[in-house]
Amino acid sequence: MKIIIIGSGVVGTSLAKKLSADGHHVVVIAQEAAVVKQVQESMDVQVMQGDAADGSLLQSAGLMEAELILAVTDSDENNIITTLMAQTYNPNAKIIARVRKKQFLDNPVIAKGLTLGGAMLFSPEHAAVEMVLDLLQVDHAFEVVPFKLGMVRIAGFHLGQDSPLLGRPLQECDLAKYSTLVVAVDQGGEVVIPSGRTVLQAADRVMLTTESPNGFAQILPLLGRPPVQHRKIVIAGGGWKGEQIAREIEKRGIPVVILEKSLSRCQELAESLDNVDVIHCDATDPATIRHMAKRASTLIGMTGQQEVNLVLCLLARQGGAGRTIALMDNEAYLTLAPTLGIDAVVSPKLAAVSKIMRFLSHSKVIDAATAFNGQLDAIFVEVQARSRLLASPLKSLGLPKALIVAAVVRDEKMIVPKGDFNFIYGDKALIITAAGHLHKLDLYLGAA
Amino acid sequence: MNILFDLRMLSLLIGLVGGFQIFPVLLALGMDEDPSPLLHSIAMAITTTLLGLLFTRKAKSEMSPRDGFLVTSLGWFLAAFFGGLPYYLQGGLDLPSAFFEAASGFTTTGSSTMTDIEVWPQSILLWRSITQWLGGMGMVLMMIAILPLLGTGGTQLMKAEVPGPTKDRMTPRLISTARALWSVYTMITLVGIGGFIVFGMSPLDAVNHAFTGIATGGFSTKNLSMGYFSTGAQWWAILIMFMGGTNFLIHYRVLVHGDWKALTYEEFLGYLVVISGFTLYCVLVLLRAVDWSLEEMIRHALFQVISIMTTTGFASTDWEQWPAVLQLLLGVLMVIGGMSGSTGGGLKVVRVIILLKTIPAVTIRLLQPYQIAVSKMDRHPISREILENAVATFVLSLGYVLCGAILLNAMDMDLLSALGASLTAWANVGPGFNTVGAMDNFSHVPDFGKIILGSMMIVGRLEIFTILMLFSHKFWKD
Repeated sequence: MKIIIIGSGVVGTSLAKKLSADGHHVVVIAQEAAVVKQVQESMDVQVMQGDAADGSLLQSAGLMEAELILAVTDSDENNIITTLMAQTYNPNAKIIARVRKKQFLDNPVIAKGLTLGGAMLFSPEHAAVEMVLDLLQVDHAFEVVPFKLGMVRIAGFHLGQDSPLLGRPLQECDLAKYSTLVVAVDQGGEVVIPSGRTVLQAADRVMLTTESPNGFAQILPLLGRPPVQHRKIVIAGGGWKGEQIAREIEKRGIPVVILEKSLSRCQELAESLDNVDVIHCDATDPATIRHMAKRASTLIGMTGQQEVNLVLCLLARQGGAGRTIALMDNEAYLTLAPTLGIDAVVSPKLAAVSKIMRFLSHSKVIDAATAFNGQLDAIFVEVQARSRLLASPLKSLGLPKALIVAAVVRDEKMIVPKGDFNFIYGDKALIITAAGHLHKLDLYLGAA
Repeated sequence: MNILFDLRMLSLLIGLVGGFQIFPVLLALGMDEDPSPLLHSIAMAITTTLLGLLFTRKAKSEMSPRDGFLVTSLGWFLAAFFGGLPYYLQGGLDLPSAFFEAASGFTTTGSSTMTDIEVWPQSILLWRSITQWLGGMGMVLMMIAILPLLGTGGTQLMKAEVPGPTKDRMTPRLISTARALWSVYTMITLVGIGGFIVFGMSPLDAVNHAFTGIATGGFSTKNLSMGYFSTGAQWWAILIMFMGGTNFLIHYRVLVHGDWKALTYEEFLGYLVVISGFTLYCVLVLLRAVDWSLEEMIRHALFQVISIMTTTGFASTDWEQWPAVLQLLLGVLMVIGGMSGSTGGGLKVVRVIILLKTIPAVTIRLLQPYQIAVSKMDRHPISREILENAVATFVLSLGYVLCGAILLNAMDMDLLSALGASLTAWANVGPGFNTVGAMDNFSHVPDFGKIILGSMMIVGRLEIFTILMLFSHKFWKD
């Protein structure tokens, strides 16, 4: 597919890297010379320098032949102008534009990600809120990827010191008893699909699926994580995102506290939310935040300043919060935060990237997503009548080592498949691979 | 640096060089020639490749810029070694000469150490032409086109091999750019073969000369070079060399996209201006010096100008008999060379234009010290980086050619021949002056001189910096 990406910030470059690695023909339009060079050196894409609002540049980038245009610069106005221009010249192209101003966010049409005249406007803020809400569904997880189908989700965890999984091969761990499957392991930055012989170490991060009815709560001891005692969720920072999250959690009947510095904003929040405690205080005061964190299951650092979020989460951790989630966009902080003991970080920009990638997933699959910072691909496919998957039980199919069947949905019910599992026609399988190996699956999906 | 992967790439490159020797073998079988030198050479190349691949099978395919420069530099030297084996095994050339001959082939120089070309088997001569055809567009670029294993690493390789100050991509993906370049190249080659056959060449001669013409190489299968063939074939050769010296980006834009505006690129206009200006002057001088017909005069003038400027090195006549001033002019053309992104060598037209464009900027500033003077090319300002590249390449090349000349002179070559040999090796032209002139060969150069010249050709083909890098302290220090 021929794709033009306008904008070379985190969103633009992450999308370019991913899409180019997936085999698409990508042209990136960037403003700054330094970025142009950097992108050209590190990716297999064509880079053009200039302002995309200049129509002739857009045309020489191949606007006419492009099937997809992503307008993801930092400026809403620019993105919208580009969208309009692209629509005029090439009405057949799919266009996705990023907007983040509040006026757009509160617009009910845009908020649902609906398309406007062939173009889709989306906001990173919405994506971030969604991602936080997904995280709150699973205790202790640092990443949760839900799928549209059959309540299936995969969740990532840091392994605790006293997890019984440590130090011995997975096949001796009797995971089947917990109806759980380890689908990927991140060993010091390298993501692998585990086999029965894989041995987990203390610092590893694991990605799991489970079919147990209580979801992931039941397997927490297996991960060396204490069960959660409190239910209260504390949100530090009452901005737009904080409010959205509070409103959603409120609906689930979980107690929520919002800490907000501005008195007038507190007033607004208290008026618009019903069962949320709005507390007027400076969350960066160590005594306050420790006190607030003491009985909290989760503390979410949602202020507008990422440094503050980082510090808040560290303080909350000391204060005894069950889990800390910090909102941040700076790449350096994103990599640093887990090593400092922050359980999960949510980056609006990266959330936007994965949301766009999901939106772009192949028409042949039911759903697709990425996890582990894009190092893991997950796709949901329907087993076709003549698929090679039907030939024999799972263990004797000879699937490549880089692939794993994480879950199967049959009659609306989720199953975590074991070695003797037999596929039947119409099953929907969630298949997980390390990034870049997805193509190996083609052989099994098509006719035998 | 990822040495293991570099070795793997080098093994594959050797395999490529060995693999292409199959074609001369087929010819040898068809013409009842002895294929054993070629077969032995193939066996050695393929064995090396297989051992290399076996040894490096755990390599991770990641490349840094350093790897690109290392692979390209070493790759070209190894290609010259393995490509020279058939000449050595055939028994006509010693090892230094064989290395020289193959380096001259791959770099599309066209200088030869063979004293009588016509006694060599046709299969060996075909191999000689194939080396030029491969080297014209570049073996490394061919690897990028064939092997989908490179990813972004290919950018580094392309940068090290494709000539010119900027490396524009024609398509978003590197592999498709490489494939587009190679297919346009192959297309023009096929047209070239057809044309030569129409103008009376035997199919085999047509293939040989189309290969070496489009690659601006200049190897011929005849002692008289293109002078042996018909007038029509010579005119056709002019066209083919002209195409070879043109930036392939322009071919691609015109042939694939029908974008005729590509013909208004300043570099292309400069290329045309230089060719017509020099040809005109040549004709004017020849008017007084020889008593040819006008067609002959234009044909020979244009042929020599294009042959030398595109750094092909075909000859239609012995231009060393021409007035001395024309030989000086041809020397200047060697320095200018073909267009960037072409198969030609030399400084490249674009760099000459950039260097010339600094002159008005300097004069304006003398008149009006506060005026901001910006040099532009194709309506874009010339960036400082590109200007630096042009100046540095020019200065470095100058010093490099002089050093080469002095070194050769120390080996008892007379100064004019030494300068000619050094210049022609750097610019990948083929013929030099005096004892290494248009109708002479390089067999009398001492062994060490052959190795020096062969290496100079490779250094010149890769535009010096690729190789110079390997001698910098920073390259090896992590």
